Amino acid sequence: MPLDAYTDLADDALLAQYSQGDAAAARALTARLTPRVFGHAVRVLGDRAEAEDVTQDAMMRLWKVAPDWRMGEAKVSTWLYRVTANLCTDRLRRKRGVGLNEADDPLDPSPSVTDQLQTRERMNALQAGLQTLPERQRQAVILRHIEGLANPEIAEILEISTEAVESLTARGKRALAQALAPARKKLGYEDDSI
Amino acid sequence: MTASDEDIVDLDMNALDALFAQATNDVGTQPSEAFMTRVVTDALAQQPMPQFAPPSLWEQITSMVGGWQGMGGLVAATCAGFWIGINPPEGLPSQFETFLGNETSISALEDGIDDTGMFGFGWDMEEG
Repeated sequence: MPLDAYTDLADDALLAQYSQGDAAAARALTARLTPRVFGHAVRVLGDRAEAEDVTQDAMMRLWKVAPDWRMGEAKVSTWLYRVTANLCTDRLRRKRGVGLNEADDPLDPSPSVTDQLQTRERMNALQAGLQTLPERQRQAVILRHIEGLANPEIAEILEISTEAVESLTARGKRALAQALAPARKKLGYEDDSI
Repeated sequence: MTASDEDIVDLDMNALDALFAQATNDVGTQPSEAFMTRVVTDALAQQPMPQFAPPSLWEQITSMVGGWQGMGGLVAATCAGFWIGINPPEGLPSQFETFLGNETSISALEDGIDDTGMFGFGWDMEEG
């Protein structure tokens, strides 16, 4: 089956194909899910190498659980986000006290983006600001405002109520705005309030 | 909170939303090609082999005689042979009739007596 034929398949259907030995399904699932998991991990952890470790671990768990996956019961991406969120939490617990300066390093200072210095600075500042938030707030803000997930799904991922998600994201966003306020001139928001 | 405070918060949130929108498409948080390859390698290494159920006894037997076609031919040949054995067609050459049955029982009985006048199973006679 060509890879394009997999675009219409749901994640759990792809996972079933994977369990039946379909190598193309493995590639399609990797292409679909890995960037999302990695994106979340790198924003929460602020470190690409650690995010790669967490992503690889989360994906490995998915491959292992695939033969026992029950179609239609849980959403694959929600399950994977939950595993990733927990792995990130474990990592952060092990290395408490990451300061703003440590998180200030650029995530990927690629030479091809030098013409987008402003954007890069903003992204790095956002990353640094995210690192100042308590871990649960950070996860909720990233899932809601950057990953674009709905509150009920975030509640399922973080294993809390929807109301708790709303509270976390609201407080997180406010704290982030305060954390970024001193850098607003540098980030080109001089005319705005950040 | 005064009205001007609320205005400031609103402006903050708008700028923050713009920042989030930029972050959503940020290439800096995309995984590298080398890493993606590593994940695919893991996936293929963990992938279960395709499962095939072992054939049943009946499937093994039918496959031995050449599948359903072979089985059908075998059944047809068996029925035809059985029917010819019960009711041999008239006009068959005599050696075929002998082979198929008419004289077989008599010759078989005669074969049981040898030249000494004893039955083939001579020990019956000797033991009295």
